[in-house]
Amino acid sequence: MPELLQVRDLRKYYWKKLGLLRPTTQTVHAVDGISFDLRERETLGLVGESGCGKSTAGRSVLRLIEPTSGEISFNGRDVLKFDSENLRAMRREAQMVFQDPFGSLNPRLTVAQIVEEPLVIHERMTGSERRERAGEMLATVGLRPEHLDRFPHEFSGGQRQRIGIARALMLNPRLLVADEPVSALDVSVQAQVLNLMGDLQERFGLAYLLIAHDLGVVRYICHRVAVMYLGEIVETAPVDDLIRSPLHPYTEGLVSAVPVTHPRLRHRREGLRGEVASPLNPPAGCRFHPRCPYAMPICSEQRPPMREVADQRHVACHLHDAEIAKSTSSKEFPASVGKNSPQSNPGAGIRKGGNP
Amino acid sequence: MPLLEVDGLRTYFRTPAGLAKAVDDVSLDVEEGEIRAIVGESGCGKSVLSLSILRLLPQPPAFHAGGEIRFGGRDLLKVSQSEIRHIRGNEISMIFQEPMSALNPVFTIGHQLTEVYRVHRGVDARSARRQAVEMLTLVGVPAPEARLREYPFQLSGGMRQRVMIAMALACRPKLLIADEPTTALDVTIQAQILDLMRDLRESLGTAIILITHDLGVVAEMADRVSVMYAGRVAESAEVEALFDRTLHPYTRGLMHAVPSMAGDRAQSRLTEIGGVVPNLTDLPEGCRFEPRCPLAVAYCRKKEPPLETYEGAHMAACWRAGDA
Repeated sequence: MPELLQVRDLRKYYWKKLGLLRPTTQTVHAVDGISFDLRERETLGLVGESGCGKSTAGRSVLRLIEPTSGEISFNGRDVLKFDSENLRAMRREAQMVFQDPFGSLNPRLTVAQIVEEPLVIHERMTGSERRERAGEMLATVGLRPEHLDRFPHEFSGGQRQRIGIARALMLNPRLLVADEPVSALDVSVQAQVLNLMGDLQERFGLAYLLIAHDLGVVRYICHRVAVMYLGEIVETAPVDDLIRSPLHPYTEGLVSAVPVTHPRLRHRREGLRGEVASPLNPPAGCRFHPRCPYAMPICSEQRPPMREVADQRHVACHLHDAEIAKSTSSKEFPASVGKNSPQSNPGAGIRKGGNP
Repeated sequence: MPLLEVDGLRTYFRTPAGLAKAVDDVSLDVEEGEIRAIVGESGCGKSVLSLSILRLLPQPPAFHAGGEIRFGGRDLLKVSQSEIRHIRGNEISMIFQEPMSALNPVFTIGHQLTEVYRVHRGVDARSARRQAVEMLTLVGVPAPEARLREYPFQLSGGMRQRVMIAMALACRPKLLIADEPTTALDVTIQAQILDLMRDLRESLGTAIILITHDLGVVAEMADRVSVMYAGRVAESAEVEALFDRTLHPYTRGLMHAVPSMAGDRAQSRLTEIGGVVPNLTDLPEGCRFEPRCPLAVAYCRKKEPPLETYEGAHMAACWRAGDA
């Protein structure tokens, strides 16, 4: 499948003034040089904990916030060079679904006004044509056309999220950026919305960039995953590989922190120590090294580059550098992962070797 | 004798839309040193239940419409204001989902934590400070001396929750009520806090009522669990029994609706529970889950099923309990 979206070295910095009188500023490295691809009809999960920059990344892609630098190519065209007219044209094809189904719908507008708004902006249609399209779309997302004349407060959280999805789909986009679309919903309703998203992907050939923190949700809906830590992507992999055999120690910690599914599976976990450092002053070298159970001297000095270590598997970690692995004794560090052995489980290797 | 016994509790609210039966005939008990989970979705009454135990609900609109809460030979719903105030913090404490809103933003951590010792234990400032440092060390706050001088906004969410736990356990209560203690936290921090709560249960013997919406947290932590739906207990069991075999279709629906990390992803649709939770001011006449239940029969609409005991201590309120 062809690439729909290519992001290269995307950065978003914020500058924070220190005090009233001192003229110094500090830089918040919210997103610090991330690259990823999204194919048509694919779902890529952008996962990580609060403050890792996943939402900033998602919004930057649509230029809802202006990135500081980088390249974003959508459909082969350079998004960062778009003028406002081009940008508006792009928004036909790339839309956003927000987390908060309460805050993202204007309470003073009827559902019809909310859902028809994209048509008012982008299409020349009569009122009755718009209303017909809006009614059809509501039916598509599991609501009824008679809901058109109600206000958002009359709906439950799950129904509101359906309205948000309907609005995003009105212009037949090819990409939806969904920022935590189900995390505000109860489990039983969450299942309804996730199933709906799956159905809509099939039906309209949508690609999703899903921003999420829940690995269960990610596993269910994503094809591939990019794991973010402090503004950087540390690992990308097909979702099942990522969960079965995480390569980056942070991914490993993230996966192992997920609660068990049955009380008999309880175990004492090593767990990640400490907390995420501040993006104001990220650690030198690998940003994860202060929390990493396998940290080596090099980790605090050199930032590990992203490497392809197996088919479709990329990781930014010195443990997976063949040169470094060779220069240290094999009983302390895992063997490098061969490109031809996607079945091997280097995560387990690390666990055995690095932390006796 | 159990540490705490909730017996037929009814907590209702007078609302403009009518009487909301938020907790409606709920019974459960907590043994000493036990982790007792109460799980359910928004509006099931789990938080109202926990607030009722410490009489923390504003009355009106809330009022007590029946039942007893027995703790240490007393009915907590009948004791005097000054007595319940003494019980809060000394014998039963509570921690909440959002530690930021539970801490006072304009006082230092040290001020708030030493206050607990000074008010409840009547100790002098220096001794309170020493005990505060000990407690922060116990809950795994690094550099506790320095933390005492900081304000809540200077701490991360995980650290704030550790401080809340330190405050709650300062007087060594027998029972800690933890209302969604990890919901606002990231998953790696959640794992740390859950570990901490388990360790404290071991070392201090504190019983914990764990209110949560997350079945994963239940599987990690609980000894016994009650599943609530629309103000009532739908099912109650030892945790392994519940995860081995559910008797109530709501519990089963909930378990299958969770996008899980285990099992086969190839069966690619999640099981939905259709429809929405009933309005608490306008409950169905029969079983409250009937409008959403895949197993419902005509009888379910007529009569509300009582909570009955099946195998061992496994209880369910369903006319078709155990039917697949």
